[in-house]
Amino acid sequence: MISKEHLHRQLTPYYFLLPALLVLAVIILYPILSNLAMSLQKVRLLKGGGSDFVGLANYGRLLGSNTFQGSVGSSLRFTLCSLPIALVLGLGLALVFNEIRKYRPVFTAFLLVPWAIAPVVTGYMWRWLFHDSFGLVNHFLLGLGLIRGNIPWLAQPDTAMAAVVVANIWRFMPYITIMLLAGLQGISAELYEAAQVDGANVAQRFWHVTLPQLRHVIGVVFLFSTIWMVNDFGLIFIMTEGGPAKATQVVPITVYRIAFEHLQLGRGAAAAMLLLVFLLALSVLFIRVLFRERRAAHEA
Amino acid sequence: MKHRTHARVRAWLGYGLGSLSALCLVLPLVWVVTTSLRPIAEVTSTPPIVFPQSITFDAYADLWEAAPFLNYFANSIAISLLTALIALGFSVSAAYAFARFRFRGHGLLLMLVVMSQMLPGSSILIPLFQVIRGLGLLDTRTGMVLIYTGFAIPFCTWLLNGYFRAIPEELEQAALIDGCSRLQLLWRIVLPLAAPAVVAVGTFAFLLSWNEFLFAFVFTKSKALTIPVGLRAAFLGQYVNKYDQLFAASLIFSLPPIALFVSLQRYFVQGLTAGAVKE
Amino acid sequence: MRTALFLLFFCPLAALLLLSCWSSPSSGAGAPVEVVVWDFGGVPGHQAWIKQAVEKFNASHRDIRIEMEIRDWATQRESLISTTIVGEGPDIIRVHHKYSVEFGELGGLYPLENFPDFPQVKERFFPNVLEQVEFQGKHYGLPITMLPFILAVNREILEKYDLEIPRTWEEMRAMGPLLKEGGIHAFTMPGGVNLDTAYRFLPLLYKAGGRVFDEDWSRAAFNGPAGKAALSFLVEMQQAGYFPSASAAYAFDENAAHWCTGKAALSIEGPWWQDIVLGNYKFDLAKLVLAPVPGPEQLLEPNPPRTLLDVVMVAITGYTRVPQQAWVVLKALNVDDPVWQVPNPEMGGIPAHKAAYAPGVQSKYIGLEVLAEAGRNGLGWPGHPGITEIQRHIADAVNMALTGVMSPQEALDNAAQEVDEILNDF
Repeated sequence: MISKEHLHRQLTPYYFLLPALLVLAVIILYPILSNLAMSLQKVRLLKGGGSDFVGLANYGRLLGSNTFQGSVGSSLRFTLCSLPIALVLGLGLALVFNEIRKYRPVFTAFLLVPWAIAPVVTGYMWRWLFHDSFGLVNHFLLGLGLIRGNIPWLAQPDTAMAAVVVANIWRFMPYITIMLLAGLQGISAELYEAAQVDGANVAQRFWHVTLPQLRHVIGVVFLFSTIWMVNDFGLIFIMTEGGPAKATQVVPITVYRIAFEHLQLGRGAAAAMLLLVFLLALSVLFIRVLFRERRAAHEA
Repeated sequence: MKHRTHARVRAWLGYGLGSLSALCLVLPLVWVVTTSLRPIAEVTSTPPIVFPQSITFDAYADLWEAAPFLNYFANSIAISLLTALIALGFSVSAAYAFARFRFRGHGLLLMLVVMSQMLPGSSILIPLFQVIRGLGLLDTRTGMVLIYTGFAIPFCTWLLNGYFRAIPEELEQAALIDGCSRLQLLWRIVLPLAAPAVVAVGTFAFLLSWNEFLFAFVFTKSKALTIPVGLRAAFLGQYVNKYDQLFAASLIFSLPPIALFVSLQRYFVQGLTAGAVKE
Repeated sequence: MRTALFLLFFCPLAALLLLSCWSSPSSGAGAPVEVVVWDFGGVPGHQAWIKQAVEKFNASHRDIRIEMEIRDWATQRESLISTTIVGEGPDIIRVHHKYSVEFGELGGLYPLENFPDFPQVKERFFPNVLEQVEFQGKHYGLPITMLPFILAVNREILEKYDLEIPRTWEEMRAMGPLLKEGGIHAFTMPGGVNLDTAYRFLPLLYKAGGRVFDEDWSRAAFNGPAGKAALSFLVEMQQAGYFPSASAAYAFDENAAHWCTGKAALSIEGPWWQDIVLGNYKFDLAKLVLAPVPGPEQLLEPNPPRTLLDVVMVAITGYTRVPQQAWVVLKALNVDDPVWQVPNPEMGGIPAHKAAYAPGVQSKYIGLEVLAEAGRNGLGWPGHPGITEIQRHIADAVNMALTGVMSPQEALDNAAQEVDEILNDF
């Protein structure tokens, strides 16, 4: 016989979970399932409405379409170019900031600014900074003698990608630097002292003490940054609208265009599902690795 | 001796490079500030004039007429504050459940909650539109708060969960034995101890809704328009591109998040990283 | 414990509920009939005018009251879609003429033939403009403003280099070298991934005798000889340096900045240009001259050369509950109001009303005769339900060619393929 007290205790955690789970069910779970259903249909928004079940036809058409394949490539290029550079720069900045003892809040305040600015503003700001005749980027590069004539940054596929990557890296510096800085501060001084006693120089200490200790943080940063970068819509949309010649049309922009400009809701849903599956696979992979690390660290 | 000069060199390098990089990070913004302070004719001059030749505050004065900007501001503040509060409340509650209880489905539910933040916004945009429309919440503040709360909960729960787990249970055990209820426990003991994480979570939720563009763009038309969308609509109309006013408005709009960050910096950073690093 | 949990759960919900009550509009039932007007977009001059026109109307009418909302031009399609699906919304809307087809068919718009005095009202507008709001014999709106595309010329540059206003593409190309020496582009145009690009391509296509679709609208025709020649012309100008290479990233404002700062002599624009260059860039209007859009010396397809014409219409929604009152409001604001009897550069377009061009009418428009002539000769985009998507594909094609990623014929053929699919879907 289960006592009422016992039952109550069993159910308590569920009470605590209820509000959050309810919201998540409405905002996330139901839409995902609905999206899945819609991706298997051809939805007619106008012309009388209704929809036809088409099975995997949307997926087939999508995977075969040049535009979608191109946007996958663009997403990959965007993320793979931004992330390593941002990580390296972030690590460098974190190392620098680690040496600052006095007035650190002031420096951190400056550091946080790119994060506090809305992506919309960031987008417009960088769009005009990269303008071919009025932009400051060309102005500075010309002044420094690094280029001979104005580069039409946003008008050429490669330079447009470079421009959005630069803007993206700028925007991610605060998050990456702060996380790595905290990671650095978590490394106990004894480890460094021990290494120094063993005769290791600065570079060796960095390689054998700092980096391994930062593995977990770098992993977390890597995972979240990747997800946020792949998902990003606003920055690129405002800077280039996906152009020129679809060079910067990453997958979220393609989803938007298919669903909201071409009003092909079924195909848009399918594209979104593909993106979701990709990100889930990535996260599962990462979480596995991270958990294994943690278990190893615990056992150590 | 060598050790001390070594340390001094490091310190100088640190401050020097630190200042340089801080400046570099803020430099693009300097351009935004100067553009907002000069007449538009100067903005489009070639070669670009870095320092404004004539400073005018016209943009700051005129922008209020361009759109019901005050409305957008009010909307953004209301929506962001409410999102922060409600997301905080729900996340604290859920995170506490994950951290302190063992129950059926614990692992699975936690993983699902954490995975939810990896969602591409584009994948739920359309079905969510139909849900919100079905609830009659299109273009309402309530609708936006609901949506943003849903977005914030996964990350907030995950962060708080990590933080709660790091807090030793003994205090709570003692209080429980004394007859304290779980809720009082949460309120009186756990939350004060977890203050940094609470601040981080609240700030995160606030910022998420303050800066969000895509969903605000699709889900609001006029009544619940927030600033990111309003910026675009008001200053970049079909043939009107008032960049000076746009940037002036953007700067004003960036002040709340910057103020929030700067004042709560210490807690925010501590809360954000402790949850991730101490795992 | 239970009470505490109840509160924890219920308070936020209650707050949410309260919010929803608070943020929803209060609906009051009053004696005067309410007519809701959504005015999408409109330049500042237009917005200023309509606010005072609405106030004047409300002050002088006891039985009807106008509630007006000004909305973002960019959101008109989404608004039309959602209100048509839901069956609820405003009574009068001011939108682009293309929606007369898309939404007229779906019942989203009210056919004006239902009003007995419509034939007399119709008489006051130019016939070719009326065609732009017609679908299967019914008119789904009144064409109020027309925006013919013309060539905007910087007179000062031409005089400095002793050049005549070009009348053909060959003459435009001939201007190139001389201007290039002076560091000036002969021509500039938005070429980015946006609809403005398509709107600059089509005037050239039309002047070369091309059309968007073939005779029975079953296939795309813009990739024919006329289209190919127009796009190749642009690409050649670009490669020779007479046309900015950065234009592949230009939206409207970058293009305007380029022209207004004297870096280019010509641009394809419309009635809005005068007010924009003055208001945004303080351009000296004495330097502005308008001319018809040039075409090739030889017509490339056997269609008469036309001007591209954009039309803004005011329509009554199909689900309105007060059509008669809406008609009264529509006539008062958009037919009889004095602002439509004199072309005004601050209104963003020229009136489609015949009365505005009667002899003796004094207007501040520079080049009004050019605009009026272009308007009378104007042909709009074909009124197809999927026209927005088709415009996007054409813009993409132009962007591809200008970026150098594809040859003009390839880019146009690509786009034509997509457009054919759209035509088939319908």
